[in-house]
Amino acid sequence: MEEIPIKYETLIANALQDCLEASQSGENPAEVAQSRYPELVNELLPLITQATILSQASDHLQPDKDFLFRSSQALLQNIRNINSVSSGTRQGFSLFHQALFRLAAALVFILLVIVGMNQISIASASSLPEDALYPVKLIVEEFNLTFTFHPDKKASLAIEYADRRIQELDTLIINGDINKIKQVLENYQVKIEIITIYMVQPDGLSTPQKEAIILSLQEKLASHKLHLQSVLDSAPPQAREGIERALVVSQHGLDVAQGTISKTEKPTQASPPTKQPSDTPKAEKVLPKVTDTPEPTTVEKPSKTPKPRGNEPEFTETPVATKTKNEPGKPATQPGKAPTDKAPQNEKTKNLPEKPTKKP
Amino acid sequence: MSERISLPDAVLVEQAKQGNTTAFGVLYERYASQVFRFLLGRIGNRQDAEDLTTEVFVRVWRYIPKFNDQGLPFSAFVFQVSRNLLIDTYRKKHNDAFLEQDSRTSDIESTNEEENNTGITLEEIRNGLKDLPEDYQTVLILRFFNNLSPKEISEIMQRSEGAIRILQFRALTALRKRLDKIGRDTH
Repeated sequence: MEEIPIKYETLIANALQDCLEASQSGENPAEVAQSRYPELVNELLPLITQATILSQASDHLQPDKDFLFRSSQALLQNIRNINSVSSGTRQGFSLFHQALFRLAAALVFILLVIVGMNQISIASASSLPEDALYPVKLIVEEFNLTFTFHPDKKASLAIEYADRRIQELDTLIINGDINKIKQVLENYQVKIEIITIYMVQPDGLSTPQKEAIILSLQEKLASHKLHLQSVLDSAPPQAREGIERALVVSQHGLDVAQGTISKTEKPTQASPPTKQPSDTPKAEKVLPKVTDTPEPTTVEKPSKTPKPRGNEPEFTETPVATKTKNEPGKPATQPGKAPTDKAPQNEKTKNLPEKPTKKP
Repeated sequence: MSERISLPDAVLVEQAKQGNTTAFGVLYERYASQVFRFLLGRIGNRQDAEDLTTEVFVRVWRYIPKFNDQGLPFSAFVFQVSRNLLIDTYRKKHNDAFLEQDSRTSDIESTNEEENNTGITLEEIRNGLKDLPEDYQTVLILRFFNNLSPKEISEIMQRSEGAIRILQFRALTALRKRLDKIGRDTH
């Protein structure tokens, strides 16, 4: 095909369209071409003739009326088939889908139980009573407690979970969720009761570590008591009753712990003492006065023999040393080892005249 | 039914989307003849054109739930389905004699043996058309067999109106040259 410049092609294309539209409105396209586009008439006329031939041919391309009727019937039949097949497929799919869904659900459940138990327990461990995973957390705790058979571990676990309830209580008091507060406090009481039972039972906690475990429990219970006392005032009025009950329970736990400790101490006191009175036994050393001092580890009984106060200038002065040097045969007094009641003597000897030592 | 016939395409399409076969039947009556002419113009065989016409409307029924009439009239959608069906049929049967009209008797010839005023038979027109590029055939058939305007054709072929006018000019020029050649060969 010979190359026609684009502008010229567009010109002829538009002129041709103009002539064809004129023929549709009843005008003679050839006359329109001659009158309107005399410079393009040689190009337009053959094309108009071609268009006329095609338009005339369309008269012979009409479908049979019989065909249209047959085709519409065939079409309706096809549509019915499509609808029935699609609905059948849907129904078949739904039955298959139901079976598949059940199987998948069972598999997912088993997988969750087997594989995801740890993940769920980890995820739920940090959940709060308002979270969706919180019931899972409680279930996991119950599961762990049920399947922990060693009394020491069970008691430790129970106090750990009781500790969690106390921490959760803070958030709930801020949010003012009364029902959740009650739920948490009830759970706390159950955990403390477990601990109390194990402390009271003779075969509850194992003997070698019993003392240490009870001391640890006692420490935790004391801190719980303090915490509950501190939140009591800020808690909503409806929650106070529950907190007070929890306080009673924690105090009871403390009393039981105290009683158990004192029972375990008696046999050791009855046995012949092998140590100096100044060497206080461990239990007595760290045991708190439960009702007064809630932090037992920080409290120490004052020893009967006061330690030398080395910081005081009197003791650091040299005359003591000079005095010992002047007394041959006597050991020099060491601040750590020497009884402190000798210190005033030193003080006195410091002020004494040196006459007696200079006597022959 | 008579009320429905006066309804615009968009309303009938919406009813058909909801499964109304009567509304779809009205659409069929509106466009079946045009689709048939388009297909007959392209493939030249009446029986095949009839079969494909039914197939086109079966496809339209399947696709109509997804049809969105924003910017595209239903007629354009129907012709697009027709064109796609032709392409699929070409692909499936390109080794068959489906479109090898040389080996078959054209129904255009059999239905009309008389010559036009210009002395060109319909068989010659068909032979002239079938060697043209696909878009030339489409524009000529839609323009002169289906009597659609350049605007309507632009919607079906998804080109601008100006592009359709130029395509129409080029297609007519190419057909004239083909018919001249056929005329010289036969006479």
